[in-house]
Amino acid sequence: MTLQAHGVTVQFPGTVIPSLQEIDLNIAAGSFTVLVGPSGSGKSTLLYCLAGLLEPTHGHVTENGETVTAPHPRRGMAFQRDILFTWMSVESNIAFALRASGVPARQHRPRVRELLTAVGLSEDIVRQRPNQLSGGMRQRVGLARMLAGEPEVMLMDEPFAALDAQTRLRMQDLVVDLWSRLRRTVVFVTHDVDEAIRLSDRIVVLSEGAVRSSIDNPLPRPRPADSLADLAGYSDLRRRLHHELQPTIPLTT
Amino acid sequence: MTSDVAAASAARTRLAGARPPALAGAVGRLSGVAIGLALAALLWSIVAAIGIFPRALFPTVPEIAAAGWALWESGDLLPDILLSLQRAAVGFVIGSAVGIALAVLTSATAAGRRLLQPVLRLFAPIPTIGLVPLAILWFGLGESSKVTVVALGVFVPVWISSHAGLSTTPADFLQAARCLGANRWLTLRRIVIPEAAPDIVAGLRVGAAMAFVLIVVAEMTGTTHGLGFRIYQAQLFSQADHLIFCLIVLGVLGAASDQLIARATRPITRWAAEER
Repeated sequence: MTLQAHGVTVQFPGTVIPSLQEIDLNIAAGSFTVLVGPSGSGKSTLLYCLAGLLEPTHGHVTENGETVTAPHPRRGMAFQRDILFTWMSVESNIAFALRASGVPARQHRPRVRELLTAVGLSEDIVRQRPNQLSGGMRQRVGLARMLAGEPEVMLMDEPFAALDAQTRLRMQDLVVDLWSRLRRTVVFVTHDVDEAIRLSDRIVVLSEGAVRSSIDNPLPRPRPADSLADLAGYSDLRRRLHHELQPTIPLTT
Repeated sequence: MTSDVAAASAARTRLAGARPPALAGAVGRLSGVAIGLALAALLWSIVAAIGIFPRALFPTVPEIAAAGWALWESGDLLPDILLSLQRAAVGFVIGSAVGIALAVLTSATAAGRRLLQPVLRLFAPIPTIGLVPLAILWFGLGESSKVTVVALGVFVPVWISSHAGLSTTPADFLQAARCLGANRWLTLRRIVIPEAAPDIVAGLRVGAAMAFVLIVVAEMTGTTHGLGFRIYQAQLFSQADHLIFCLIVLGVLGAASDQLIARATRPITRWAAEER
């Protein structure tokens, strides 16, 4: 699936400066694109537009040439906070997505188990509720629930920001594994340069609501976290990203 | 992954450790209730013994118990309790069902929000007791007027609380449901209503208490049976001991109903208690 932003501008009511300014972006099918930028640069706003959760003030988003007007399970969304339904068990959370996608009820149980296995979880947790799981497990359940909708594009809004460093690295491995195994398209938002380098094919740097640069990531895969810095080209890429992320307006004291 | 499982296991252990054993918890709660009641009886007895109020209007605890026994032996008490309970229950079920159904309409539909909600906002502050004469005019002195009064009184808190819960579903949940492809009906059934369940149950508990208040008012006219009638009779004949005993019975019935609702709805509200 090709996802494109055509001159997307978003200006929230009561604000003077648009949150996004005429963004043009082409997300190729099967690519892993990472959006990076400082807080307030418009990363999440752009992702919400791509998901169909936010209607641009000007411009539009297309999916295989058709204008996106509403969310759809084809464009699965992982939020900053794992938004599991707290009153449901793990099984019911995933079954909800299956039901929403029209999967017959008799197929729910085996499918839930398949999806849990796909994200590295044991089926023993099906009856547990989200508050009985660790942060990493909740994010895995959230991924399983998103995968239940058979998304062609996985839109991920800093999903691991609240996790500890070790869990975060394991979740990065999982996302790369899912992306390469399932051949999905991923658009991943982060403000962490190393996370962007480790995950991406292409890094789009956003600043003050505009695309500042789009950089192809030349690093070979796999990219183990403990030897990422040893990969050829890592230092140059990191230096370039840091340069691109410098504020355009110098901070004054 | 291993640390994920370990952390989850620790979380479960904490949850389990925080929960006292069921039997010990029940004994503890019952002891608290017994001590509280004993203290209230003691305080009442002290005030009665001091004699600052006339004995006929402020009977002692044994006199109240004797009046209760006399009511029981006369064979009037149990039929009165059953009849009042029946009227309260029928009014409660009707008022609750209508309250929840209208709350769904006023929170989930544009027409309900625009047309129905303003009318209900105007209706809600009207004291239900003031509707008793109207209910008698419309439905006569029979059962219908009594059930109507209770139903109207139950409806108001149930609607207010349910509407508040149903209209404040966190946007995150609604966005997640939309992204998963859920239609409005599925979202309402599986997200909005379950998320509002604690508020709906709170409304039901207030409504149940209201049912016992209103049944007394409703039974003061047009009937010769029921706890409200018995209280009215006791007042007419200056039988403070009978009157107080009937009030205690109402209190016990109200508390039991409240506990019944709380326990029956625990499966749908437990998640919220665990989140706190």
